[in-house]
Amino acid sequence: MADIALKQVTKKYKQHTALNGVSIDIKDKEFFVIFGPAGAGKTTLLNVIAGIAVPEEGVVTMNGKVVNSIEPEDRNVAMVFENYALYPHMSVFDNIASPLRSPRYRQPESKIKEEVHRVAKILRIDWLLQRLPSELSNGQRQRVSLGRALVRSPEVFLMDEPLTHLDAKLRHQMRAEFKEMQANLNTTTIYVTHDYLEALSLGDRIAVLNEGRIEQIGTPDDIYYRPATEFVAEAFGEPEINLLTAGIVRKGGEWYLNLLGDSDHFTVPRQVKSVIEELQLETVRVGFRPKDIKYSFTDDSASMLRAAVYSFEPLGSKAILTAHAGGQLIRLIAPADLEARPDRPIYLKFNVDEAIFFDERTRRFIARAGEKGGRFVG
Amino acid sequence: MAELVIRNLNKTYTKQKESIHAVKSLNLTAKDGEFIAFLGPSGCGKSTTLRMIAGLETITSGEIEIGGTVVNRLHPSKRNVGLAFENYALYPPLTVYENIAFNLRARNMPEPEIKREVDKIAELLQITPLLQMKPSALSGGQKQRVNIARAIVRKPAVLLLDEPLSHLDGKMRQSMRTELKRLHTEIRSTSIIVTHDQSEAMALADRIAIINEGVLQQYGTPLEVYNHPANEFVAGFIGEPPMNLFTVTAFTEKTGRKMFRIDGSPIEFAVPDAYRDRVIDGKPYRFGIRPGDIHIVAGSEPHTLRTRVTIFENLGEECRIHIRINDALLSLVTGENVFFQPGDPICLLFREDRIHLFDSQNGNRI
Repeated sequence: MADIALKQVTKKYKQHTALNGVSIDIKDKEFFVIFGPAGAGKTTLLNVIAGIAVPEEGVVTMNGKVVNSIEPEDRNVAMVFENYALYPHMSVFDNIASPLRSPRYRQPESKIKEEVHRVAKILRIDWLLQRLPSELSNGQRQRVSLGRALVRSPEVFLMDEPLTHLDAKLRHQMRAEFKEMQANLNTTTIYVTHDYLEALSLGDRIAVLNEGRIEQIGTPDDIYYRPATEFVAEAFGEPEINLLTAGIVRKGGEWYLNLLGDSDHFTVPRQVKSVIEELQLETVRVGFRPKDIKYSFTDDSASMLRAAVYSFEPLGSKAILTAHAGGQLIRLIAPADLEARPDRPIYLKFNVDEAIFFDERTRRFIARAGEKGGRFVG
Repeated sequence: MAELVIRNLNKTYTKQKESIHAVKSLNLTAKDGEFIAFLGPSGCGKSTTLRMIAGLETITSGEIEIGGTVVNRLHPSKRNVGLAFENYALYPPLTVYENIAFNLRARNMPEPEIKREVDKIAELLQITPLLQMKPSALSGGQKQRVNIARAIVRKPAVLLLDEPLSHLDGKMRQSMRTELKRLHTEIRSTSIIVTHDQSEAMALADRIAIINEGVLQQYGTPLEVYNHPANEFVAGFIGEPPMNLFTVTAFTEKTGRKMFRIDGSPIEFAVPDAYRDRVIDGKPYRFGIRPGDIHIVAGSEPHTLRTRVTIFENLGEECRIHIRINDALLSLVTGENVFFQPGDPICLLFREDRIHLFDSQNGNRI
């Protein structure tokens, strides 16, 4: 049982401000992801919660009590690191049992046996208890490392990029394995990653961190469909979202976007129009996810925009097609067997109803036409 | 511009008194203007091969021919190859301009011509604003551009790239990959890229040479190696998320229908028509299906597999569903707007024309 709150936390290392006025509320039993690029302050944030780093400003509370001056070992948190750090000469059983044999948490052997088996069952490693770490797969080693954290029944798990060092293929599998395990953890967990797929897949909520500041805190649904800033929009999705600057053109009662030189076909969606009107904007930034741009090699609709193939990168099940239009590169998704030789004329159709609109000056979210969302529910 | 031919190439060396056969009887041809990827896990011999082409490594036996000339005995500088390696190795005291011009100076090219060439390459690689800067002021991506500019400014017959993108972070790597592919369509020189990243090889290359333990496993276009992998190694190495691979055993039902059962699990499904005559009862096979080739269907269709969802992931662009089978997961990917919870029943259909079957002994495609 633990909820954790940070209020206006600032942490400095000499001249460098690692965290700048960070406020977060983490609910009991929540799986909370801290996402950001290298150097964003993710690990510092984790260290502040663990008590390894002491903030210059702000307060950290656990279950409503201020813990700023409480030592790390008194916070009842368990850290799980990227490297498994198992004792190579000890069996899986002894590795998991080790925290319960330490002077601090010492338990009777009968109790230890019970606990190790309970944890091993949750992690599905109960059949490996007599093995040595060297006899395990990477995935199994990671589960043992988690088991060692779990056995102490901590109130909070802190996980620092536990899947980062795996290659792409293993990561796919390990992320799924991890998600399966997560359902049984039932403990407040704070999980740091720079991989947006991990954040979307695992997080109940995600805090996006950039240069020591919070860009957005929200559910995967919020983050993907209503990104608070262009930074968030660009960080989630691969290939990355296409962001275009568009002027607002008023013709009679209708408003159009001037997109890549075409101001006749992209009607400003109704819901977006009212926001633009309220903010009195003349120019907006429009974000199109690659899957929301369709293409054709024939000019079969007036609302299609002429472009040329810049590059075509097949990836097996699909391909990334980069098109050149109006001095900009536009990325979209196409089948891998498409005949898209460079410089071939191509016509693009932008789905304005799925577009995400940003303020051109602040690069902050203003509106989105589609009611879509809810895909992440659950 | 030249064809590159590798004939019966071998490399052995001694490490800690142990003889290592790093490259084993390699044969392949890169046509004039082709973009070829050497792809494999670390230590497979791909970089050693590249270094033999460049002349940085001696050849134990076999021949390398560039543009009709056997280059085995030629000094690296006489082979007309351009090199861009993973670690940038730009000359730190020289400006970007001087770094690119360096090799042209060595050839006594007149100064106005050098300027023309450097400016042209700089524009092609979009580094014109960087020309007067020192390497220390550049980002990783910029350094790599300069590195590639320096390799191609000499107009080499063959351009050799050793993991040029692996030091770059995710976003930069992707945009550099796009630029590299575009660059090749503009310069059209025969190019070899060494990489351990299958998506990089697929995205860039006209043909991919997949190498494992010094042995060429398959040489083909990205579509060929993806759709018709020659063996289980290639099948597992190409594609992300990776192909599902299971050991299955064939048997015949009372009704006469040929079936596969996944070993150690109750999951059974019909043997596809195309394999029916080649599959022997009681014999194990390695069965492969890509995550995108499994469809979610209503239960009534034949050939379906009824099971329950173990894990559901929504990743924005796509959803992934995983089913636990013993200690492994069967994964599928869909672009459709679906939602499942763990434990929900689900019916799956393996696309018959996309099933891969491999010999359980030698791993070869059946």
